[in-house]
Amino acid sequence: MTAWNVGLALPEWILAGAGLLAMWLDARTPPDKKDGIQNVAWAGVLLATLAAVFQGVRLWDPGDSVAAGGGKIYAFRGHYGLDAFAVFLKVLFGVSTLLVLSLARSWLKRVDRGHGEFVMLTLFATLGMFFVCSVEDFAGLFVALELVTVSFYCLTAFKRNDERAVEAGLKYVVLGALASSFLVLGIAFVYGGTGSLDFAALRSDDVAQDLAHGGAPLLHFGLLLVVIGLGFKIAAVPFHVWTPDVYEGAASPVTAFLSVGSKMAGITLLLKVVRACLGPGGDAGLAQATPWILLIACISAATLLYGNLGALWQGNIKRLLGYSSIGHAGYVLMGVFAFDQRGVAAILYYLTAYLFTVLGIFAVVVVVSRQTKSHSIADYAGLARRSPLLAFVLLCGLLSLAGVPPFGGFFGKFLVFQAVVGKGTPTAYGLALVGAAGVVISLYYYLVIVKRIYMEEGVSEEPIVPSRGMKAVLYTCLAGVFILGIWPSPFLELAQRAASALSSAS
Amino acid sequence: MTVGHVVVLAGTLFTIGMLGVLSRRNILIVLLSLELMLNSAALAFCAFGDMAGNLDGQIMVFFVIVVAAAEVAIGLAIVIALFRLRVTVDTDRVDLLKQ
Repeated sequence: MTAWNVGLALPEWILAGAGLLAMWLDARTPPDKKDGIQNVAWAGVLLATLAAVFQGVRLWDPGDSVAAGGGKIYAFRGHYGLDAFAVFLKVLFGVSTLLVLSLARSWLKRVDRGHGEFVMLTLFATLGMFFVCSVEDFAGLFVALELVTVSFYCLTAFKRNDERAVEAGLKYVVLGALASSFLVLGIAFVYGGTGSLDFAALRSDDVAQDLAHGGAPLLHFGLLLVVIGLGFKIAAVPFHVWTPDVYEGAASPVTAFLSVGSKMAGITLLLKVVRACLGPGGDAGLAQATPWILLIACISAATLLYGNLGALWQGNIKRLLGYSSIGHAGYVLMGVFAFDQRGVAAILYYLTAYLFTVLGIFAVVVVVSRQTKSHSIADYAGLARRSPLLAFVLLCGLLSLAGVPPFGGFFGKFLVFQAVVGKGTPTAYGLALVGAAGVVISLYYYLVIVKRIYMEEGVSEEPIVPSRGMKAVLYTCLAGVFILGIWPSPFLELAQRAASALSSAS
Repeated sequence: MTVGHVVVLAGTLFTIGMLGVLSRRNILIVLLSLELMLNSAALAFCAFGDMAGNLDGQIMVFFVIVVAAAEVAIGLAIVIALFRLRVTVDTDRVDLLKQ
């Protein structure tokens, strides 16, 4: 715990280096040669992801000294921890950034300036996401989360000549800073309650007892504010108001990154904080802490209903995806409700499937909107005739979001429901029912789009041809969605290893 | 003056800031209110740091100051971009994104 061990943060060093290099290159290259910066960023993220994979292989080797010692290595004198859980999420973040950078490549061709800045901000946001996986205290939590959020403020308002983008950026900054101040005040009260910023201080038997039996008012109040702050990040009701506006106003690649990266960062921290509150014994604590479990169940149910009902009346595809992403936060919170090894594994699997599904859909949105200059769902009519590939990716993506077999989203939802029903309490059954109602509602609005694409005649028959890079993204996402749906066992095993690392971490 | 007094002061400032964010229509006042909220949290950290008897709270204040500065800098940059496009700092008139 007392060693510095700075080499452990190799993926983060690589990302920080790539970000600074991109900044330097941006200042040095003439405006017409900025493509090279994107290659540097791509290579940097790829290297960082590979470094994380390499660390993961070492962690998972049963003969290794680390695996024998509880499966967790510490660096920076105990403020940075690496276990299978962190590695799993770092690889997810790395893959999503690679896909987003590829997505943004063709979009950036249409933007006249700021290529270097876009790439740099994306790299720094990714750096924040990687740190989020490894933080071991509340100071780290705050700084890592703010690194992600502040980068996203700039990315949202990136098209500064577009009134909608600037308006979305303004709303995001004001509401984001509001949520950050709740988070900071919450951390202050938790610190007042435990006298330390370390997650380890929460992880004592006393705290678990206090949470179960209603002692320690400072700690309770602080944790409530922390949950509010993190709830904003994952767009849970009632902290979701920014989501549809920001999703609609921001550029499509930014929205894609926001709905995958930013949301996963919030979920990662929520899981880490909830785990820390459960005491050294593991998953007994939350089951006993009745008010907390009810709170999470209520937020989850409200999020599921609001997101899915709100999406019914949307005519703009990005706004619809915004509401649908609120709904998906509800499913993830169902997994948090069932906080045990199975629940966490279900969340991790859900996020993996969600990543490929959402990025595939946004790739289609980027390609289609370039040609039609519109995000209206009405303009997707007859897409199947204009581009069979795009229509098929959108079909698979929407069905996967709805949770239809044999797509990846089905297994994610199945595992989450299994974990919740496995709890066997009346609250759990109620929550599962609300979740099922959410699935039914979502099926309706997803199928309406599918009907538009395949059965209606569009105004134009002009074919839409995705570029080579876009095709690569589309095929990757399609492959991810299918593989996760048809052949889940290897990924499920990885998710279970990661989940058991989280629950055993001491 | 005890730790309790300071925490109550921090809570009061935080509430004033929150009311400002929720009720004022001028974006600049909203940003000022946000700054007040973040800094009241920093004040709470100082108070609890005194109670806990270690330096963690005071170190955290530095992080809060840095992050608050970053957030407000970006907020102001976006307000300038908005003013160039719309010539207004009234939040009620920033309403393009709706159902």
